[in-house]
Amino acid sequence: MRILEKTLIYIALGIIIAWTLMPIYWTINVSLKAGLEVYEVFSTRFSIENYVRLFREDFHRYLINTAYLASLTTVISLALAIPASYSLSKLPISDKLRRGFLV
Amino acid sequence: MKTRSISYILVLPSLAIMLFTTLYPIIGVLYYSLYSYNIVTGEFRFSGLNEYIELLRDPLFIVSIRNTVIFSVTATALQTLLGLAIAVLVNQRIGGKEYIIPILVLPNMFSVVVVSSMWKLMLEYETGLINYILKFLGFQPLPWLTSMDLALYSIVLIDTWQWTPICFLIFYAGLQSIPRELYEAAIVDGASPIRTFTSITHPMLKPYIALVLLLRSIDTFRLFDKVYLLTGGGPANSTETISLYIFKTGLVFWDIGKASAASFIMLTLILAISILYIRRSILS
Repeated sequence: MRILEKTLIYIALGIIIAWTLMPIYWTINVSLKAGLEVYEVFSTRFSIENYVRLFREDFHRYLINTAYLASLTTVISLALAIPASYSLSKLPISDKLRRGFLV
Repeated sequence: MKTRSISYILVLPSLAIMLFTTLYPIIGVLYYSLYSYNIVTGEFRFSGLNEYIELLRDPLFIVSIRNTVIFSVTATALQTLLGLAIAVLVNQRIGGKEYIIPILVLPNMFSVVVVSSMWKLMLEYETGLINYILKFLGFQPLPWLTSMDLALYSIVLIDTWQWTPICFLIFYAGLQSIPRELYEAAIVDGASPIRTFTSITHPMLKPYIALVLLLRSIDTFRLFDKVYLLTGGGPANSTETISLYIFKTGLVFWDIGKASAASFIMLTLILAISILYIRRSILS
């Protein structure tokens, strides 16, 4: 009985994991194909041509831009939030402002 | 006295930014919604509630409200139920949790653009994996994103794929906080699994369920990015949502007055939903 229960749980989890990973598998699969092979569902031939083309264009620029933007946002929001949260939780301040701020 | 003034100085910058980025736009939207304001024609005159009346007469706006409500209700219900079911499954005494949980949370780490492109590939009529599986199993391939009846539900499916993990995580945290003794007592008393769920798990999880419902209904109500990327509101406006409607009137046709009025209606709807949820979850 216990073993049967466990098997059923694992089967259910297996279906959920398959459902979760399916689009990711498919995207990687398509990215590794060139030309008309995109139409094949399972293929054994791989090519990194798409990735080569991507970096021959300005893709590294976009990566740098994204990283720059992300770090800048983090720094600014931390710089604003740390003093505010410190003063709201540790220093004396009117309760009205404290409650209003959290809303 | 001195520390008090320091504490205000420390709060001030973030308070100012928050006021500037939330309160100011709301007031601005309310102000512009009372005017006939179009950037293309250069028209700008006071028109009272005229824009609101015009909006409610616009069949496209009514359709967009209908679509948004259908999407929000089905997606929220599906994600909450699935998330709860998966959380209960993972919470059983099984091995390998440290591998299962990261895999299950994976979908939420992609940006919406990536998720939409991935699913566009999957749902492609001729070459997509989903239709391949359907054909393999002997079913007819379905026009997922190009049929009027299916497109909205395809987007529900994609949203469910992406956001169920968050529901799962919140429920899982909730389940972890339920003391084990309660379940041991239930086993001693010989309670059935269903009885255990309705008498222990459900009441203990109630605040988490309310939280997930609130978060998901607000977020699904604002649906814009997936529709914009996948269908653009089509086919035949069957996936037009309020956000997309506002975007088109405001930033494509530059009819600021009408778009402001629509934004204000949407804001009121979202506020109404959240107040309803918060009231009920605090009262219960």
